[in-house]
Order: sequence, then structure tokens, then C-alpha cells
Amino acid sequence: MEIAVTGIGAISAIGNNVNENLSSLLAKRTGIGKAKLLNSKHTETHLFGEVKLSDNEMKSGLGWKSDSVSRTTLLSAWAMKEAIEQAGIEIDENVGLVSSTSVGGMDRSEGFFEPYYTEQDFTNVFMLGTHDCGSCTKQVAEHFGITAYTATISTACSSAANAIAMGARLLRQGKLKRVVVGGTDGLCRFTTNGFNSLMILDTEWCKPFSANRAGLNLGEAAAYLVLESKEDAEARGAEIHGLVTGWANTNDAFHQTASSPDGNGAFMAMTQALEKAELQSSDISYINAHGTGTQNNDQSESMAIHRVFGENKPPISSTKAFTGHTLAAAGAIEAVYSLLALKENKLFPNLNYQYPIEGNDWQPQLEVEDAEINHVLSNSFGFGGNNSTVIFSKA
Amino acid sequence: MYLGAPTCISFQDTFGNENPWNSLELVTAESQLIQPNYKEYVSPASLRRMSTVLKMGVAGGKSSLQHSGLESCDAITVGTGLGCVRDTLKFLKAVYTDQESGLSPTAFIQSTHNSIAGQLALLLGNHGYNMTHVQGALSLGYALSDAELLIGEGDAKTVLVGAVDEKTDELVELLAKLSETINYPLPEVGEGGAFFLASNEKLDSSLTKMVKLSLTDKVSDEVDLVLSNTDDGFNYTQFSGEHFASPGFGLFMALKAFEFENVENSHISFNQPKRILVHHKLLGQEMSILLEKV
Repeated sequence: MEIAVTGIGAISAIGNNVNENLSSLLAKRTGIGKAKLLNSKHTETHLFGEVKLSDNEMKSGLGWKSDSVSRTTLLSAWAMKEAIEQAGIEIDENVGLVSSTSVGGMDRSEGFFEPYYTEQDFTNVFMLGTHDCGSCTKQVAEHFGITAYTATISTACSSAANAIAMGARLLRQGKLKRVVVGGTDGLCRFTTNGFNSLMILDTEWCKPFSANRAGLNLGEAAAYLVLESKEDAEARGAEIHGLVTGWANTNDAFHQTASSPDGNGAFMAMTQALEKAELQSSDISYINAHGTGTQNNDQSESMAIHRVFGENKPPISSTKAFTGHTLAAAGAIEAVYSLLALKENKLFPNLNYQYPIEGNDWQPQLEVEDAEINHVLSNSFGFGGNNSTVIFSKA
Repeated sequence: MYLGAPTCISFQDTFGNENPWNSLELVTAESQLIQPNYKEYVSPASLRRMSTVLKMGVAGGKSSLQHSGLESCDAITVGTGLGCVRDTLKFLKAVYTDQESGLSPTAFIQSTHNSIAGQLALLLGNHGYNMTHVQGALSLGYALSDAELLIGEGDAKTVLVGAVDEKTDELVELLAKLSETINYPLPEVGEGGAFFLASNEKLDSSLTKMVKLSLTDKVSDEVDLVLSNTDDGFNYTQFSGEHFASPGFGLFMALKAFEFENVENSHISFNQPKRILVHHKLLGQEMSILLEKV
């Protein structure tokens, strides 16, 4: 069975919908800057890829009635609405949802934790009702009337890539007829301080794959794809954005947070995804890299790409300098960009690059460029050794 | 899909080789986990940094793989409702009390939900498919479903599947306050972890075949025994406490019922059950697993 993408939805620092995201990519316009909504003292010193809509703006746009909702969930519902509407599908008992998030309702929980930890004040304890990751997915599923399969994946920064692959597998196994897949993560103090404590946040714009890179910028986003069999999509005359042809999930089994220097997990993920897609590395027209801008990731990913592609590397870029690293949502927002690359026949640039990493015989794609794009390989790697690759192909 | 090599860490004597059905004791607020000697599974240096949920995860997973008789497995799928609660709360507390400065990253690093499956992969040197499902009390159900998909697709022949959740005093206090506020009676809160080896074909260690997995309702089918967290069957959460991974305890006890066949004590009696249903319903989510002895 061929897996078709018939709907895409996205919200990130560079746009509140897919078209706005595309315009920003083509205009080389980053969304990373001073955060206005995030409540953290690091907003004074650091830059963030913050979505421009407030929670209230999203609530009113969605017609969301309840106040018991986290930003992560609102972002999720916002992007999912676009994807579902665009696919033009009715939600019934054959439609499932595989979402993903790393922090779930943490942004709302922090409304409780601050008075609780500073003054032992339990007043806002009700806010913990939306804390767990699964409850975010459940809320969104209920909002759209999805009653079948409702899963939440949490494999750190590779989460959404795994959600896409799982959706494809559910369709191939005949468990569902259609499935909405993707990921979401709202900015919060927890992750801001977590990445800051690891000393991997750049205080300036991140510089993926540049020798002078100094860390990542955190971002927030949500993006979703509607998947169904190509046969079904064609039968109902749906627009097909692209096919999900390859996927793989491997574990680096090297270190809890760091990637192995030779990029073993990443190498295996790319190799296995190519096998799944029955493609050669030379078939890939563009790599949307994980490319966070940290010393460790970009070094390790460069090594892995070299091992897979040798001297014949296709154009490569990381779009993290547009959006920031959106954690669990990264694989989904970059899936949307990969599908846009296929559809528009465009290569998207890697911003802020200055010097090649020592040993790299390539530099990333620096400008928007027309190109014939048939297959895009998208990488998403995370803590816990989780490495995932998804391949998108022209229908 | 076949399941075997059940391993469980709980309030009961479930980790050893004895029949756990014969030593059940009702859970109270004072119940403590009966934990294995973790040093047999993890180096003391790693152990020192690990929270209970990580220890249960790595020891449970490793022990299940040992019991399966396999050298390695093709994939690992883990379910957890709340993940690494202790480290999450520890890091959050530091964020607020130290006013966002000078924080140690250790608790943050270990707070991510996937650190359980990740540590297990690290410990086993397993480079295969590695997945973490977080869906409240259905987390185990989705981990099982994922294993079934992998096996169905031919991507894996053997999958280590588990579910694990921990409690801390602080979590119990927060849940008590939360349940008061939202007027939802709080059951006795438990913790624990259970692992199983799922396979495409029957292994010597296989005990059951998963006939049906429902992630939305209770399968209605003729069975010899229903294990449930409701009174609609033998309520196993009296012995595990309620937590998002407690269906793992239920599934473990089901496999032990197939293994030991005959049980008669003050809590329960059954005789050579052939088909067992494990059912769990919590906070608006429901699942059931229909099992057949092999």
C-alpha cells in the first residue's frame, strides 16, 4: 500500500498556517527573536522561536470553550484543524490520531508549580489536570470527534517522525482507513531551563552546520499530516501532497543525551529508511537535516550523512534557524517543509551558516533554489538515543 | 502475537519465580515496592543516578529478556503515563527555588519520558526500534499495539514490551489535592513496572497468544477469568494500587495464571484457565486484552 499525504497543517514561529510558513521560507525570514509570551527570565538573554498567537487568540480562533487547556494542546488543535480541513475528510470511526509531545501540558502546569514551589500555595492544583502528555492528545481527539486509535508518542526530539511512521504502519496493517499524525510542543520554563542547564542554547541566532555554531534556539510549533492510502485518496479525488515511502527508528545506544561521534544511530536510521522506501541514496533530492546547531548533533549528523551518501550528497539544509528547535514537533513541521519542497520543487536554505565544519566536504544549501525534487529525506534525532528518518516522495 | 517472559516489580512478591497468586496482600497507603537487587542488572555508578522508574524499567526489561531465552530482541516499546515523575518534579522545584539559575542538568536529562526505553537500549546495547507511548492508563495498550504492528509489518520478530510508572510522596499529595478539587475519588495510588517478550511465533517461553487488543472498550467474549480494575471481574488493583502502568500488573498476573494453572486462596480460585481478559478503565479511557493460553 502506498501512503499518501492529503492534508497538511502547521503553526510555528514563521507562520500560523502552511502558506505563511512557505512564504517565510522563500523570503529567508526567520521567526526567531525576543519572546513576548514565554514567562522565563531567560527571555532577557536568549532568543526563541515563539508562535505569535497568544493562547486566547488560539482559543477564539478554534472556538475552544474550556479554559482547562495547555498551549501545547491549543497549538496541536490549531494545526490539526488546518490539516483536516485541507484534506476535506469527515471524522468517523475509521480515523485515528497519532500525536506526539515531549512536555505535554507543562506550560499550564507551571501556573501551579510557581506559587506551589515558591509559597507552598496549592490554589492552582486543578491546572495539573492537563499535565500528562496523553491528556493533551485526548483533548484534541475529543475536540475533533476522533474516537478510534488515539496514541501519544514521546521520544523527545524524534517524536513526530515516529508518529508519522506509526500512522503509515497503521494504514498498511489495515487498522485504520485514515490517520492524523504529527506533533506539538509549547514553549515553557521547564524545557527552557533544561536546555539552558545543558549549556546548549545559543544566545544569538543558531548556526546549524557552521563551524562556529554555539547551540540551539528553542522554538514551539505544531504540525499534522492526514494520511490515507493512495488508492483511497485517488478514488475520492483528493489532492496528494506527497507519499510517505520510507521510515526507520533506531537507537544510538551510546549515551542518554549525546549522539555517538560517528553517528551510528543516525546512519542506521537513514539506511533503513532508504531500504524501506526501496531507494538508493542517489535517489534523494534533498535532505532536511535535524541540524540543531549544537556541536554534538551537527558533528554526528554530518558524519552519518557522509557515511550514507559518500561524496554524492544531495543539497542539505536545516530549517531550525527559521523555527528554532521545536522538540517533539520538529519532525512534523519539517515533514511539512519536506512536502512543500516536493510540491514547489524548491530547496529551502540553511540560515546563518558561515564556515564549514572541519572534515565536512560540503556546505549546506544557502539560498532558495528551484530544483527537481522527487524524494526528500528528513531526519529527527533525540535524547535517549532516539534516531528517526522519514522519506517523502512525489506521488 | 505471542507473549511470554513476564516480569513484574510491584507491591507484591512478583519478581521471583514463585507463584505470585499465592502471596497476594491487599494494598494499603503503607505498601512498599518489593524491589529486586538492582545491582544484578545495572552498574552501581549508573544506579546511583537512577530514579525508581528508571530502575524498574531497566531491571524489568533486562530480566524479561533473560527469561525469554533470547540473546537480544529486535525492538523495545515502553508505555508510561507520567514518565520520570521524580526527576521532573526535582527539576521543576529547582527552576523555581533557584530562580532559573545555576541548575544542574542531571534531573532534566533523566526527566524525559523516553529515558526509560533509552536507558534500556543503552544497557542492552540494542540499536533497534525504540519507542515510548504516553497515553495514561492505555500506555501499555499502545506499546502492545505498536509491537503488534511491527510484527505484522515484518519489521521485528521479537519485541520487548513494558509499562512502568513511579509514585513519590509529593505526587501522591498533589494527586490527593487535585482529586479533591475536581471531585474525583482518588484510589490507592500504586507504582510498578511489568515487561513481556512479544514474538511473531511461539517460543519455549511463550505463555499466551494475544487474540484481541481493544484500545477503546471491553471485548465481550467468553472467557474463564476477567482481571480488571473495576468490580466487573477480579479487581487486581487491590494488589497493585492504581497507576497508569497498573494494566501491566494485570497482564503479568494473567500470564502467571496460565503458567501456574490452579489457584485457590482467600482472594480467588481458578482452575486451568484457557482464556483470560485483562480490562482497565480509568479517567475516560478503556482497554482490554483478550488472551489465550498456548
